[in-house]
Amino acid sequence: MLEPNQKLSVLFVRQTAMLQLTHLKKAYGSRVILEVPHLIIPDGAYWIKGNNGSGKTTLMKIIGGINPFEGSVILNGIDLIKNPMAYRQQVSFAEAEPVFPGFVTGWDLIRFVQKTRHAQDESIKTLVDYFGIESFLSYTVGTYSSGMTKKLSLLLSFIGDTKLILLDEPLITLEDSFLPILFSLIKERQASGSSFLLSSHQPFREDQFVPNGKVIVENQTAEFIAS
Amino acid sequence: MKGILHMMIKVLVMPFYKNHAGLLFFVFFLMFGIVESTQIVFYHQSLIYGMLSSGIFLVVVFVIWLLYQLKSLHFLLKNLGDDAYSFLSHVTLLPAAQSFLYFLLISFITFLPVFFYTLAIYAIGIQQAFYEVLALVFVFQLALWLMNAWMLNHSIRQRHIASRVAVPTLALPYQQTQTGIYAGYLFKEEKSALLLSKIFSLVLIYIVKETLEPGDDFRIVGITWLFALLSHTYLVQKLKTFEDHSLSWTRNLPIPVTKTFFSYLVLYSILMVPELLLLTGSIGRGLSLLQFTLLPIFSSTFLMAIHAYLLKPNRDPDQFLTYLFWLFLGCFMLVLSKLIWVTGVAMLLISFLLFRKRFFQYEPVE
Repeated sequence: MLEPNQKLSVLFVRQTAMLQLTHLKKAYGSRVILEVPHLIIPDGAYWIKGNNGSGKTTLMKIIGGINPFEGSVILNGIDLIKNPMAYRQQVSFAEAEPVFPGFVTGWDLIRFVQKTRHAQDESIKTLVDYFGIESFLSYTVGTYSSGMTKKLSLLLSFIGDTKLILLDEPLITLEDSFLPILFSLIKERQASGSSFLLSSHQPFREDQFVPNGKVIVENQTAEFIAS
Repeated sequence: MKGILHMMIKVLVMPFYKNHAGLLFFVFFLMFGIVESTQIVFYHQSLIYGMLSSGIFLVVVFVIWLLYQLKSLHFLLKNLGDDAYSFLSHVTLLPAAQSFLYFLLISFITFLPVFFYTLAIYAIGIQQAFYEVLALVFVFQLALWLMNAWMLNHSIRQRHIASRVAVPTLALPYQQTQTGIYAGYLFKEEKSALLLSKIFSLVLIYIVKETLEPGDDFRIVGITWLFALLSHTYLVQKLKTFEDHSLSWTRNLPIPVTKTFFSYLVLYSILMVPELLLLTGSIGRGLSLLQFTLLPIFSSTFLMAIHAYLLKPNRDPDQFLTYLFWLFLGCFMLVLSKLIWVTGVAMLLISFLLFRKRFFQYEPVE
């Protein structure tokens, strides 16, 4: 049983503004794709919801540090523009349709990301076992099916001790039997302090994953709705 | 039907010329830039006369044309095999003879720079009554166009059948590093472009090296080195496209921009190692040890200056050739002014600052 002050402290941690977007704007010439005056997303796992072309991937690529933007993106007090390396140490991103160099092996990419994120060998072994993809990691990525490439991309996003993991359309191209494995890993990482933003066109099965809230992307802006 | 041909020209021929602008620019300078303007007509008359009258010279020219045609074939085949160009499979709905004719036209248009020069060969050949040699030139060029057209037509119509020819690839041990991945791309995915760049550049360096004598001005080597670098600009463009297409996800990783910059710098230094090795015999013969060490700095920073330009946000792709021209001209003048080391250091500083400023402002073009 928690003491009242402990409860308060837990509540405080839960409500900490993990991600803050301020005056965020993404435009191509005069065409505005996304304009978010102010958005605060607390710790947790959230569903980024929106129609085709609403700007979900653009938003995720901005938060992931891949695409340039105007405004500010701050994660746990670290500004993406002012402190790009420290920010990127906290965030990882798995693309909806990942593209990797076809001539490298899965192991090459894993070791490359491992080095940049300073991950331990043991954690890599655990992840590879978890994903069950060791059998094809020695082959070049160009020989992979889209499902294998997707699994590799998801695995790469779990490497290191990142505080925010962005998964763009994690359900596509994966076999149904793999989804419980993915969601149990998400729960495990959530329990150890990571937050998640997952975009998906289809709703999640409640027995597999219940998000803490939604980020609705529509009308060129984004809005946070807690559950 | 004309729509299909128009589309083929737009997606095959135009990218070919955009991607090979550096190489064509290099050859153009080699042909017309190194000779005094008053001597240029006489120079080309002599060159063409030599080609028409010497069997060995003619064979060398044929080999160069063949290499050019193989280079364009490689580029076109690669585009045809790219998923992004899968819509071109609609060409197979046309009768085989018609699609062959379309590819023949594509093959001819990509050969135009050579063909224009061939017109001068025909003019001089007719004047000098070299009719048999001209017939040979015509037959050879026709064979080159037919070869490419047949290969392209066959490739698109037989794409569902697995290839029986396996091109050997190099196993590189360091593909878990940035430089290793970039080098892997050049050695594995751009083998023919790399080979062609090397042939042009090594032949050029070899010719100059053989003519060097003790006491010769270093500017001879410096200018030659600059021309040799031009044949590598295509590789920089290809690397940038590769980075945009297959490595955009790495922008999410905590890799310092400085590290990325130096990874490319190392690669571009390694790229010119064969040319450097070729020049080692010239140390003390028109080239001092200090001058020799300046060359890799000059080459890596020149190629980095191009790479940094390609990171310019909202860049107009058609401006690339203009940039390349001014960069080349600026370096040319500075080398002539015996300021090669100043040029190297200035390009290093400017390209580093631009690279660092632009890297995260740039949005990869997918």
